[in-house]
Amino acid sequence: MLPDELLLETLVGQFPCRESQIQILGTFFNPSFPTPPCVVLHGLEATGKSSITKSILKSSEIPHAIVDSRECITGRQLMERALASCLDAISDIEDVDLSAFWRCENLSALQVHLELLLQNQKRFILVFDGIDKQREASPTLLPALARFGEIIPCLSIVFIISVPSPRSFHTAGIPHVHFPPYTRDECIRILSLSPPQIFEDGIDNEVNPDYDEEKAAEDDAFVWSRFCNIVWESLASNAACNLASFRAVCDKLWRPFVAPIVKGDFGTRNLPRLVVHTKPLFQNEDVLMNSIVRRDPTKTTKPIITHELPFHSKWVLCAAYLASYNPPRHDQIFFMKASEKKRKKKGGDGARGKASKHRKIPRSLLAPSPIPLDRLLAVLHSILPHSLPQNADILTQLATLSSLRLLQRAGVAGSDVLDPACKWRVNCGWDYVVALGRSIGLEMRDYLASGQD
Amino acid sequence: MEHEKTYVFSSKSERPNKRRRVEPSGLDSSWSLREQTYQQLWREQQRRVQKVLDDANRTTLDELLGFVKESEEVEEDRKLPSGMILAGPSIAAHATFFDQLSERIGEETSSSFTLITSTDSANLKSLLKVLIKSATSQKSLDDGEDELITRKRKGPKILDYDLQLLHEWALDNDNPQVIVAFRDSEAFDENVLSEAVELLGLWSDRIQFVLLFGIATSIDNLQERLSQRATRFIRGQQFDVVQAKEILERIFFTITAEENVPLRLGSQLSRVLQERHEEHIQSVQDFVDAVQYAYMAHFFANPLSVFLRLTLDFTDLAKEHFTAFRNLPSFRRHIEDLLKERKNVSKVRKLLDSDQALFDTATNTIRRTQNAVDAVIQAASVLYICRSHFSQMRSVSRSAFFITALAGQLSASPTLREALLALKKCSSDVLLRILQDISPVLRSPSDSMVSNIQSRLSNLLRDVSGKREPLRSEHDNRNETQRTTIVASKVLLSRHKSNLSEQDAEYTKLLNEFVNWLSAYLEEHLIDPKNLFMHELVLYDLRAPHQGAFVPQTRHAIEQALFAPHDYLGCSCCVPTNDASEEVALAGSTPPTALLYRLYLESGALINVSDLWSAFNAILEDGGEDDSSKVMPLFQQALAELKTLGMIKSTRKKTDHISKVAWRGL
Amino acid sequence: MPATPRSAKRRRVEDDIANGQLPTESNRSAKRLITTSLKSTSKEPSVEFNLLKSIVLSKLSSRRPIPLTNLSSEHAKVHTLISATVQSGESNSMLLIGARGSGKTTLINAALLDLSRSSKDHFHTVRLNGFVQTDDKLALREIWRQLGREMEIEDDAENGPGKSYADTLTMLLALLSHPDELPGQADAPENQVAKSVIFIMDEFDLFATHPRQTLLYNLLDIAQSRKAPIAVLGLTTRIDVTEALEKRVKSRFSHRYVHLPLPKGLGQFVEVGKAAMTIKSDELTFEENAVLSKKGGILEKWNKAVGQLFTDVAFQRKYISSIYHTTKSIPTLVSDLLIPTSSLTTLPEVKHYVQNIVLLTPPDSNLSLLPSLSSLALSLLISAARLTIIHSTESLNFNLAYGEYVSLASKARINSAAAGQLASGARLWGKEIARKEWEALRSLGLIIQTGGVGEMCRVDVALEEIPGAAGEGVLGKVREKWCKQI
Repeated sequence: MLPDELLLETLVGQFPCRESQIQILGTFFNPSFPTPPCVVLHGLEATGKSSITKSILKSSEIPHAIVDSRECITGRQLMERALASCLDAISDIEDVDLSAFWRCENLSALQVHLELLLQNQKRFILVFDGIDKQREASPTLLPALARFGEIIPCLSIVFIISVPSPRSFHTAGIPHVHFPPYTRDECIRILSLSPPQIFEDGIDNEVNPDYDEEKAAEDDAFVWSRFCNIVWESLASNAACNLASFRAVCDKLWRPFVAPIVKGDFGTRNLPRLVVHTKPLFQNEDVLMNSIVRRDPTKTTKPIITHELPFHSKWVLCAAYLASYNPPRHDQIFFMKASEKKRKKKGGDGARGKASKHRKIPRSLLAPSPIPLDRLLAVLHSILPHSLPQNADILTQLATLSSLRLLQRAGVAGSDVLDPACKWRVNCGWDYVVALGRSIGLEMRDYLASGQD
Repeated sequence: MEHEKTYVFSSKSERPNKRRRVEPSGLDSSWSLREQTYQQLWREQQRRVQKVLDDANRTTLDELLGFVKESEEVEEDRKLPSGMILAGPSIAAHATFFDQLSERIGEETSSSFTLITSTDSANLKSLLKVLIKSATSQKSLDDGEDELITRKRKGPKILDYDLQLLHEWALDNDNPQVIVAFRDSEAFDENVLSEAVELLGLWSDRIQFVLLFGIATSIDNLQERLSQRATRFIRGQQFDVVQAKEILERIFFTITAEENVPLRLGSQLSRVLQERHEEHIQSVQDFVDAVQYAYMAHFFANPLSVFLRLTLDFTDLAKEHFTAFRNLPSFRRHIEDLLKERKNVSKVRKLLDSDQALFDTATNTIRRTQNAVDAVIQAASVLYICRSHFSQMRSVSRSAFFITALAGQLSASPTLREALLALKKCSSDVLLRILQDISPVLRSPSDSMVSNIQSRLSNLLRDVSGKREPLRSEHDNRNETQRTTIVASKVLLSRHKSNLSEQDAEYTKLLNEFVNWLSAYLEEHLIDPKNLFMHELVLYDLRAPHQGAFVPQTRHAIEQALFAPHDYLGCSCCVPTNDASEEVALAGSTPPTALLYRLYLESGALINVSDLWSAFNAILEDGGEDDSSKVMPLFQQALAELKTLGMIKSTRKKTDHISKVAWRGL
Repeated sequence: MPATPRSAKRRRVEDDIANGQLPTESNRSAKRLITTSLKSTSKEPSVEFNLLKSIVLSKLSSRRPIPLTNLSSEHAKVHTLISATVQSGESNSMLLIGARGSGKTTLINAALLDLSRSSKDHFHTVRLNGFVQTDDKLALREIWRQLGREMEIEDDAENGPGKSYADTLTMLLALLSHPDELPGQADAPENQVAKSVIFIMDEFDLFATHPRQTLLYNLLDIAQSRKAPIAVLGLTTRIDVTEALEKRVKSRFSHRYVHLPLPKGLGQFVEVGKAAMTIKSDELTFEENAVLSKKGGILEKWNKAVGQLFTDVAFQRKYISSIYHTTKSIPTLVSDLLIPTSSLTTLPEVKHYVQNIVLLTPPDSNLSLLPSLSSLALSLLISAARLTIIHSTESLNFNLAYGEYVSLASKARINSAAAGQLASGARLWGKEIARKEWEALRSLGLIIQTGGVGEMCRVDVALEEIPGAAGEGVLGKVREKWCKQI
C-alpha cells in the first residue's frame, strides 16, 4: 500500500493541520478496500472539507462525481445535476448511451437511473457538497440519498455539510468526519507559510547593496508572522475567526501596514514602534466588514452620496415612522394640535407605558407596528408646519416610497390596497429617519413616546 | 316609492339624448388643423427634451462603459465587478437611463446586456429564467412551466433556469461578458437579490458576469439589504447619475426659455409644475407628460390655437373662430387701446366687421407677439447672465428666474436694480466677460450696440495692456478704501494717482454707457406678457386642467359628495338654507347615504349602530317618512354603501358597534 | 425529543462534556497512526490477510450481511410467513417494528436469501422505500418497473409507466388478480398467478402519509382477498404506525407484528460486534474459500484473535460499553471499528484497537459549536440568552440583543477602566459587524428565525449551558460573569 501513503503524505503537506481527517478519508476512499455506503463530512466554513475531498478523490483513481448544492436552486435541479455529473464521470471511462437519461425529476427517477448507470461499475462515489443548504429540498432528500448507498451496491454517497443535526439522516451509524475550525495557532501557522513581500516592486540595490533576496524573504517572513499575530489579537479573534476571513483581513491591512517600511521611515526589525505608529489600522472596524464598494482601510470616514427624496416624501416617511413606533394611545399627547406646555406636561406619562415587573422592552428596538393609512395621514397633517398643498398627491408618493421599500405593506402582499384594513409599516432605521427629519427641520425625538438613546 | 329619496333623477325625467357622431362644425371644424399643428410643435419640443436627456447622462454612461470594458481585464478571485448606479429616487428615471445604457453597450461592446426588474423576479427561479433567456437572446416567455432545454452536446437536458445553459452558450460564442442590470434594486426582495448575487458569484469563475445596480436611496442601504455571503462576492464601484432636479431645470429651460418656441407655458402653470415636481414627485417623465398635456389641452380646447400654424388660409377657418377671437380679452383691450388714439377708428371698425381683415391682423401680429415673448425670455437670460458674474448675489434657480420674468414681475424688481448697481461697480475684466457671454444671446439690432462697446473696451484695454490689475470704475468702492490707505506710503499714493488715470475715466464712461443701454433694454423688453395682444394664443396658462388630470382629488371628491350632495345633485329639495354657513342642515330629503355619513362624521371612533339607526330614523321621520319598514332598508343600504366606500368596518372590540375607518379631510 | 427541552438540553450538555475531549484524542491517535503506518510500510501483508481484511471491512461497512445474533425467533416468524406465501400461495401482511439499525432489513434479507436458495424462481420481490417513493404515483411506477423487469413484460409506451396513474394501477391490479375475476382477461398469459410477489416497504409509516393511502389500501386489499399471492412486509421504526392507517386500510391489515428488540445486555451487544468481525466459512464464496484454504488456519487465527479482542475487558470498557450505555446502536458500534480494522497490518490485537479507535459519531447538539465562535458572536449569543430570561420571552430580535450587548460591554469597559486593566470583551463593536456575526449565528442554527415581522428570532441555547459548552478560558472572566448574574 505504498502509493497510498505517499499520496497521504503529499496531501498532508498540501493541507496543514488536517492529518487526522486526511488519514480517515484516505482509509474510506482506499481503492483496495470497500467504501462505506454513506459518509458525512461536517465542519464550519473554511475548514477545507471540499478541497480535501476533491483532491483525495482525484488522486485515488475511483470514479466519482461532485455536485455543489449551492448552484442548484431547486431539489429537481439537484437531481438533474447529480445525474448529469455522474454521466460525465462515467462516460469518461466507458461509453454509455445517453438517450435513456434525458430527464430525472425526482428521487425515485434518480435511483432508477443510477442503478441503470452503475450496474456494471465496480464502485462509484457521489459527493453532495453543502447539501444541508439545499434550497427547496424535499424533506426526505437527505435520508433517501443516504439510503442510495445501501440500495445500489457499488455506490457510496458522501455528504459535505456544515452542522450535522442528529436526526437529519434517519439512519444510525453513518460515519461522521469532523473538520474542526482552525485554532488561532493553526491559522497563523498556515498563513505564515506564504508571507507576501514587503517591497513588492523589487529592492533597489543602490540604497543598500548588501540587502539581497533571501534577506528580504526572511524579513518578509519575520514581519508577516508578527503582523498576523497582531491582527488576530486585535481584530480577527473577535469577529473574523475563520481562516478565510482572517486571511482576507490580513491581506487588506498588509499594504498599509508595511507602507512606512517601504517609505523607509522604519526598519524591518523595530516592529514595536511600527505597530505603535500604525495603531489606528488595527482599531478600524471597517476592515472586518466586506463592503460592496472598495474603501481605503486607512481612513475611517466613508463618503456617503444619497439622492434627496422629494420634500414631502421625507415628511411622509417621518410621519410613518412616528406612527409606527408610537402606540396609538399616545397620539393625543403628541399629535393633537395642543399647546406646547400641555404636551410637555403630559409627555411625562408617555414614557410610563405598560407596567411590568420585568425590564420594559424599549419599543424602538422592536419591529415597527403596522398602521392604517388614515393614522399615517393624520400624523402627517399634525406634524406638518404648513398645510398640505393641493398638488402634493401624497398617495403617489406613498406608492413611490413603497416601491423603494422604505414603506412596506403589512400583512399579505396580495391584499387590496383600497381595503381599509390594509396597513403600512415603515422600513427604515432610526438613524436614517433622524437625519431625514433634521433635513426638513423636524426633531423626531420630540414626537417619540419612548425616547431614543 | 321610497327609492325616490335616493335616486332623485328618476327615469320619468327626460334623459339627455345621446350625442350622435356629427361632422365637426363651427369651432370644431379646425380640429384636424389644430391637431397637425400640435403634432409638429410637440415633435419639435420632444426632440429637444430627448436631446437634453441624452446629454444629461452622457458622462455617466461613458464612465460605466469604461468600467465594463476595464473589468474585462482585471482578474480577481471570483469577485463580481459591479457598478452601483445612484440614479435618484424616481424609478421612471431609472428606466430611461438603463435603456440608454443598453443601447450604448449594444453598440460599443460585444457583451450581452440583461435588464432585470423586480417585477420579473418574484423568486430566484423566475429571475434566473429571465436572465438566461434574455442573455442567450431567446425571447422571454414566462409561463410557470420549468421546461427542459435540449443542449448541443448530448446527454441529459437542462432545466431552463440552470446557469449551465448560459455557460454553454457563452462557450459557444467565445465567452463574452454577461452584464446583469438590476434596475430597481430597492424593489427587489432582499433574499432573492442576495441569493441571485451569490449564485452569480459562484459561477463567476466560468462566466464573466458584470453586475449593475440601480440604486434610488444609497449604497449603504443596499449593503444592509444584501446578505454577507452575497456581499463577499461584490467588488463595487460607484457611479452618479445627474439628479432629477437638475434635469428638470434643463428640460424646463429648453421647453420654455429657448428661442422661438411658438407656444410657451405661462408663469402660473410653470410655477405649479415646477414646485410639484421638485417637492413631490420629482419624476422627469411625469414632468414632460405634464407639458405635453398642456400642449394637447391648448390645441384641443382653444380653437384660436389654430393661428399658431405657420401657413394658414382664410378659407380654412369657420366663422365662429372670428367671433371667438373678438371675445378674447386681449383683443378687446387691443381695440380699446386703438380707440384711445382717435385716428384709426376705421381700422377698428374693419377689425370688428370684416373677418378677412381680422384674419390678416391676427396672422401678422401673432409673430410679433411671439417675438415679444421671445424678447422677454432673452432679456431675462441676459439679466441672469449678468447676475451670474457677481458672486455676492443670492442665487436664484434659473427656472424660478424665468418664471418671474414670464409673470412680468422682473422689471423694476429689486433683483434688477441690484444687478444694475453691481454692474456699475464692476471692473473691466468682469465687464469683458459679461459682454462676451451676452453677445451670443442678443440678436440685432441691439447687439450692434454691444459689439460696439465690446470693441471700444478692447481698444481701451489694449492701450493699458502693460498694467497688471484691470481698470476700475469710479463707483468701485475699492478706490475709496485705497485712498484711506494712502498715508501708508508715498509710492502707493503716486501709483494711485496714476490709477485714477484717464483710462479709468474712459472706462467709467464706457461702463455707464453700457449700463444705461442695458437698463433701457431691459425696461423695454421685460414686459408682462399678459398685456400683449393675442397672448392667450402663445401662452398657455390654465392650471385647472392639470389639477384635474394629474392630481386627482378622488378622496376629497367622495367626501364632498357625501357631505354636501347638493353640490352634485343641484336638486331643489336640499338647497343649503343660507349659503353663508357651509354646514348643510340635515334634511330628511338628503340621500340616505349622505345623511348617514353626516351622522357618521359627528360620532366617534366606535359607533353604536342602534344609536345611528335611531338618529337616522328620527331625521327621516321629520322628513315626513313615518313607515319605519321603509326606512330600515334605506338605513341598511346606506350602511352597506359606507362599508363599500371603506369608511366603516365591523369591529370585535364592542358588541353591535362598528369602527370608524376613514376621517374627513385627510 | 423526550421530556422538556431544557432538561434534554442539559443532558446533551453532559454528554457533550463527556466526549468533549474525544476529538482531540482521536486526532492524536490518528497522527500516531499515520506515523506507525508510514513506518511499517516495509513488510507487505500477505494476499490472504488482505482478503480477510477486505471481507471484514465490507461487513463492517455493511456491504456484506452481518449474521444475525439472538433474533432467531423473529427470523422464524418472518420466514414462515414468506415461505407460506411463496410455497402455498397464502397472501399475508406483516409489520416489522424496530429501532434504527436493529436489523429489520438484515432479517428480511436473510429470510429472502435462504428462501431463494430453496425456491428460486417462485416469487418476485418488490422493494419500496418511503423516503424515495414519496407519493403513490412514484411508488406505483416503481412497482411496475420492478415487476415488469422480473416478469419480462414488454415495457413500452402503452402499458409502461408512461400512462396515467389510474391506468398503471388497473393494469397492476389486473396483473395481480386471478384471471377469472377480470372479465375479458380469460386468455391472459399463465405467468400472472403462478408467481407470488413479496412487497418490502421500508419506512412503512411514510406510505401512510400519502393522500388517501390508495397504494396501501390496494396492496392490503389484494393481500387479504383471494387474488394473486402476495406478502406485504412493512418496515418501520414507529410503534404506533397502525394508528396512522385509515379505517378501511387498517381493517384489511392482518395485525401481525414482529418487534425487533435492541440487545438486552452488554453480552448480546458484544456478540453482535463479534459476529461482525468474525468470518464463518459459510459466509465465504467459493473463490474466497479456495484462497483462504490454500494457506490453512489463517481463518481460525483471525477468528481467535477477534474472540480475544472482544472478550478483552479494557477494550469493552473503553469502547463498547460507552456506546451500549448511550445509544445501544449497533451500526455505530460497527462503523467505529472501520478505521482501526483498515489500518491493521497484523492479526487484530487489543492494543492496536484501544489506541486507534476513532469515534465517528456526530456531535449530538449544536452546543459543540460554541468553542469555535468568535468572541463577539459569543457576546451576542450571551446577551440574547440573557434577554430571554430577563423579558421571559422566547422571541427577540437583533436590535434587542445588540442593545443588551452594548449596555453590558460598556459596563464592563467602565469597570475594567476603573480596575486599570483591559478586560477581554471590553471593546465595543459597531452595529454592522455585530449584525454580520448575528447572521453567522443564525446560519449555524444557534439562533433560529421564528418568522413574523422584524425578523424575530429565538435562541437555541440556554444561558446556563453556555459557559460549560464554550469550554475553559474561551469566555474570559467578564463574559462568564454575564452568564452568571443578571
